[in-house]
Formats: sequence, C-alpha cells, structure tokens
Amino acid sequence: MARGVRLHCWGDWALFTRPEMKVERVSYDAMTPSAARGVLEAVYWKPEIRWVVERITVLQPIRFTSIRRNEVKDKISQASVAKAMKAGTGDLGIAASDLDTRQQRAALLLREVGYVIDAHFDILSGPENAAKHLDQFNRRARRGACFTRPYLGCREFAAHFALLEPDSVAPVPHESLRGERDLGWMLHDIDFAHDKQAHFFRAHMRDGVIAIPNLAEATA
Amino acid sequence: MILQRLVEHYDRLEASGAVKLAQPGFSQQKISFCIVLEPDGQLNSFEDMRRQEGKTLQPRTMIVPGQGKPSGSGMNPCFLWDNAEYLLGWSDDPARSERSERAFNASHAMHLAFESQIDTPAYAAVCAFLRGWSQQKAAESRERLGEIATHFGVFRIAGEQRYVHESAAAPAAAQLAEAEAATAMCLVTGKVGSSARLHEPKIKGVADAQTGGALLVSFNATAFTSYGKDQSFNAPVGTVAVFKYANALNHLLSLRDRRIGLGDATVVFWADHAQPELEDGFGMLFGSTPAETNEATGTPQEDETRVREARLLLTQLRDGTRNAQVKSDDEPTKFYILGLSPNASRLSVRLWIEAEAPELERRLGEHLRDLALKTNFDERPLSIRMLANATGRYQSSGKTKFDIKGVSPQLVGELARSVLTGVAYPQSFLATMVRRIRSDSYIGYERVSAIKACLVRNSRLRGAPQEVSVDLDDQQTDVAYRCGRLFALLEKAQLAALGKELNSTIKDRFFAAASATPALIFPRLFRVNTHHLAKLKQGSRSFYTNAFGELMGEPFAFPRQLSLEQQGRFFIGYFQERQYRPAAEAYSPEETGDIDE
Repeated sequence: MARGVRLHCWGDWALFTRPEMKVERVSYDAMTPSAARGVLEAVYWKPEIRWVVERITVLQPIRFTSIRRNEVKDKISQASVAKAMKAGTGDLGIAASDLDTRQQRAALLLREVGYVIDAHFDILSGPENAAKHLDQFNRRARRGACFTRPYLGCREFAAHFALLEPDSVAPVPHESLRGERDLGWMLHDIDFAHDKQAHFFRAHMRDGVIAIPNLAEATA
Repeated sequence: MILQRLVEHYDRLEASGAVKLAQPGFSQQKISFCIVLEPDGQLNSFEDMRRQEGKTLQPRTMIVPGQGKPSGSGMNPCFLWDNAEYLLGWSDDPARSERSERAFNASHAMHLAFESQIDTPAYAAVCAFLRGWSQQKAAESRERLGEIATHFGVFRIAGEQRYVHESAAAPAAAQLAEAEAATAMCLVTGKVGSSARLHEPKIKGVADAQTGGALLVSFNATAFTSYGKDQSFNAPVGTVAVFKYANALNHLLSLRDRRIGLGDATVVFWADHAQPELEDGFGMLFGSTPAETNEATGTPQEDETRVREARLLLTQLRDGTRNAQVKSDDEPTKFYILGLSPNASRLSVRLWIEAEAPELERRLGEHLRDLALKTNFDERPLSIRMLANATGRYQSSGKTKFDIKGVSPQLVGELARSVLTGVAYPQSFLATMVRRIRSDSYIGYERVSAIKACLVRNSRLRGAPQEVSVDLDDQQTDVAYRCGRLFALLEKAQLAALGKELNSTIKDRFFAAASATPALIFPRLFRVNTHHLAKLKQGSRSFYTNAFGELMGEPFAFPRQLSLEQQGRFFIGYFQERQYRPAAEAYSPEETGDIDE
C-alpha cells in the first residue's frame, strides 16, 4: 500500500498493561494496537498524520515472568507544578523511600518479545502528500532515529526497532504460535475525542498474526 | 483473560447446577443464628445455625439478598439478615450500646418502610416483632446471644421450613441494588452497559491478605488512576461481569482441595470440564493431598483411594503410559491456573496459566521424568513444596525436616511456573541447592533429585541434552560424577575399617572441599585410605581396590576446580553410589565390608 509500513520491534521485556489489572500489573499476551501506535509515533509523527495499525505479528513464544517493584501512591499535584513553573525553582519529587507514599506493586510481564507492526497513516490536515510522510518515516526508521525511545507498553521497557523494506522477507512467527488462539477482549485504543473512552476488540491470533479492526468497528 | 475465564466458570457452574452460587443481587454470608418467630410476631426462640466442622462450630453459608456489609461507620442495614446489632440492638461490648440503638433503629425503619410493598404473613410477623422489640429485651437474652450471635442472623417463622428472606419477594432485592450511572463497554464481555464503580464482593480466602477480603481490581490511590477517571471506571467492567467473576473466584478459594498455598501465593485451578484425577494429581504435585471430611468425626482425612489414584496418575505421567481419553468429537479440556499474592488490600496476579489438559500432562510428565531418581526407600512423589523446602537448612530434630525460614517465598511460585510452562527451572534453584548441600552436608533424596532435574532440563533447553541416569551408571565417564562415586567408596572403606571408633568421617570434614577442589583433597584421602584398607580383610580389600581401579581406569586427572553443574554431578554420583546395593546373589557380605562385620 502506498502508505503502509512494516516495522520490526523487539525487546527483552514488555508490559502491555491490562486496564483492569493496572495496579498490580498483568500484561496482555501480545502487543496492543495502542502500544504499536506508540512505537510508530516515537519514530515519526506529525500532527498532520494519524497512524492506524492494521496487523500485529507475534514472533516469539509468549512467556511471562513476575517482578515486584517499589513505587509511589501519590501524583504530583497540578498546583505544585504551576507554582514551581511560576517561581522558576521547586522540588517536585516524590521519594519512594517515603513510608507514607511507598507502595509495592507486582507485575506479571512478558519476556523476550518480538513483533512486526503493519500500519498505515491517514493524513488529517495539510497537503495530501503521503509520499513525503512515508519517505520521512522510512529514512528515520532505517537510520534508527526517533523522537523518544520507543517502548513496549511501559516506558522502562525500551524497544529496538528495524524497518522491514517492502521487498524483504518478514521474520516468521515461532512454531508454538501456530494455530488459532483467542486472546479475549483486548484494548484497542483510547478515544481521546470522546471523553477518553476505552475501546476494546475481540483479538484472535492466527499463526501469530492479529488482525486489528478499525476503531469504529471495535466499539460495536 | 483472567476475568473472562472466571466469568465463564461461573456460567458453567450455574448451568451445571452442581454448586449453589449466588445470583446477581444476592451474596453468600456466614449465618450463625436464626430468630424464630411466632406467626403473630412474638419471639419464639433463638436458634443456633452453626455446624460442627472438626473441633469448632462454624457458621453456615447461606445466600441472602443484597451485598455484604461495607466497612465504615455509616449505617448500612441489610434486608432480612444482619448482625445482632442491627437486628436486635444487642452487642456484647457495652460501650457500643448507643451505636447499637442507632443501628437497630435504622434497620427497624428500613424494614417497616417495605411493609406496604411486601404483603406476606411472614414479613408482617417480622415487622410486628421489630415493632415490639427493644434493646432491654435483647439484654435479657444476653447469654444465649453471646453464644450464638458471632456472625449474621436471619428470620424464620416457627413451623415453616423456609427462612423469611427466601420467601420474601424479589422486588425488594432489586430496589436495594444501586444503580450505577456510567455506561461503558465492558472489557470482559464486550457489551455496553453500566460499569461497576467498586468491585464487590471482595475476594476472601487468599492467605495473608486482609481478613475482610481483598480486591483483584482496585484503584485505591491517585497514582493508580489515569485519564481523569475515578476508581474502577479506570477499567470499565460491567456490574454483572463483576458479580460473576468475584463469586466464581470466592467459590474456588473456598474449596480446600482446589486451593494450594505456594510460598506467598495462593493458587487456584479449575478446568472447563471436570477431570477429577488430573486435578487431584495436580494438587498432589503441588503439595496438598486430596482430603475428604470424615463424616463421623468431622476431621478432614486423606482420602486413601484418591491419594492412590493421584499417585498412580503421576507415575503414569512420568512413564508416559497414560492413556489419553481423547474423544474425537470433544475438544480437549482446558486447565486454568491462577496464583494470587496478597498486598495488603489488593491482590496481585503471580501466576496465570492456560493450557490444554494433554499439554499440561505432557509438561507434568516431563518434570517428573526430569526429577526421577532411584532410591531405596519407597518415597512419596516429590511435591513442589518439598523441593522448595529442601533449599532450607536441614534440621535433624524439629517439626519439619528443613527449616522453612531459609526458603525464598518466590522460589515455590517460580518452580510452579517452570513445571507448568516447561521453561527452565529458576536460575537460583541449582545454585541454592548446591550451596545448601555444601553448608550442611545433608544429601537427601529431595536435594539430589532437584539437582538432577536442573541439570537435565538446563542441558535440554540449551540444545545439548545430557543424560543423568536414574540409577547408578557404571559406564558414566563424567569426571565429576566419578569423583562423587569415589568419595562414597572412600567413605564406605573408612566406615568399614574404623566404624565404631570414629567421631567424624571424611564426609563430615572433607565433603564440601572435595566437591569444589578435588585435586587438593583426593590425594590426601587416598593416602589415608591405604591405612583403612590395611585394616580390612583380604576380600574387602580386593573389592575396594578393584572398585577404585575400575573407576579410575579411564584416563583420569582430578580436576582442580568443579563448576556449579559439575558439583551437582558430584553430589549425584555420591548419592547413587551410596544407594547402590547390588542384587543379593552378586556378592557375599564379606566383600563389601559392611559396618557390622
């Protein structure tokens, strides 16, 4: 497709948090469309385009592991941020060593993951110059440029990425992923236009490939 | 996935009708007493509803309308069931009498408000009773109430079988249910509907969690909320789905033989078709024995038949002789295993495994084969708990064989994950076991089996499978293994020669050093060994000399250092040589130089 790209991303850890198990984190079995969109947007994004993920191919067998971390239970308040901005200085940190605010949270996350993201972009505004955007993405992905480091679900789990050229052979999913697997209702994305509603879609993995429906179809 | 599977389990239990589960709008509560009324509302008696279970009286679990009582100091009267404070205005703590009065009035008012709607004689009797009751009357029955009013109570009319809450009309229950305003797509069922703000009922039965119940899904601090959403609206789950999964999980946690404690986690497992033998075998593998309550004494006893069947199943799995009862038109049974770990008022998911029964059987068989080791005693199949406990310090006296305090609580959970998913054993497992053997010199069957399992599985997963035989392997050329055997023979010779005079054998003094640096220790041991052999009779002497010659026949140099895995082989060699007892006709007692000679 003229606007389609394929990006291979992989990493040692991934945590695509289930919304219901957000406190004691449990990961989905595979990458969510919103996480895939995040990886693409980290490589290249402008307000004129919107990435639409079509397909996610899972390459590595699905392996979980469990870790426990010390985190905090408070958020930095907006008022203190505004005050610090106005004053020019200020301490906005919350120490995890503070007994009042420390919370220990467990996480059930994925190990040694690899995905191929098939996506295209829609042009929302500006000149209808798909080739320009596509070319910029390809160049950046080839040389490893990104605005921020792409991550797999949570920021601390950094992702490596490589562009798959249109004529190159894509990596093959692991043999344990063959067959059909029902992954249940998976988060599609958050609809920021309508009160940040979460939309879910029924995910089926066939031989490692998850087909992602449109956002409109997912709500039905 | 987890919530979805629990909801499916609830639907299955509902459909099968085998288990009585609460419907939406109802909940299961522990009832310990019953207020029996005359048809005109006069008090007949207080009935004790508790049942004998083992040595104690336990309250009975019944399904009553409405949800459980929330925590807090507000007034929350429940409909036709409540604790003695609300129903009767009585409390065993005299300081609470003022609060009891308020509670009683609140309950009183609520019940009377419904009187016009519910027009049954039973309910009229209840209302008449409440009108005529007061705290002073409750004080008169103080001893009786003190005895039985430990939990909640219900009403019954004398002469009738059913309780008042069972015969009262359902509309009251629907009115009590709160209407949640927010509508969103439920992430469990995919349907758009009202989503629950709090996930009630709470999950009870997880070891070391709050006794009042903990929550699997909760957002009880600001750092956990996102996108400006509040509490459980952060993850929209429909009210019906919440009810179903919470009740299914509570039900699973209440079944004693489907719930296992592994380290700090509580593991429940269920299957989508009933497979009792596999489930029992499972439980036995983890460390719980199938029990049934002895009807006469009320104590849970090991069900001998089920224990035998479970053990047979594990043996069949290990040997690969299990006939899979695969019906061609049915789909294979799926097994779900959920491990929950407490964190104050929340539960974290430590383990979640979905596997089909044949796949699971294959993995269990693989684990059992990795673990198999011949021993002279008829041992019970090694459970995962036993394996993990073996990393603790050996106690020759004391309640348990190993000191459990030294065992990492996560090890058990990680071991379970390795067994159930077929991945490598935890990295620390081999190291901890070897270290423990070196520090307390106890080479037991559990420890050596664990080492063997680690070696076999690690080498297999690396792609270069190495065989470690179940029994003593005469042909094994591995240097570390032969060193272990040599050490066992040297020790045997010493015991044969000096047996009764010894305070400490070479094992007590040199074992750890020999396993780590054989090149330094073995020459010394052989030097001493010549003196031992000199004390033995000719037959024994030649036996040992031959044995040494055989073992060291291949070109052999004592290694300067043994790596962790090699130390493991050393221990296996030592253990197997010590266990080795050739068939009776192959030798005469003279030759081996036994200690009783």
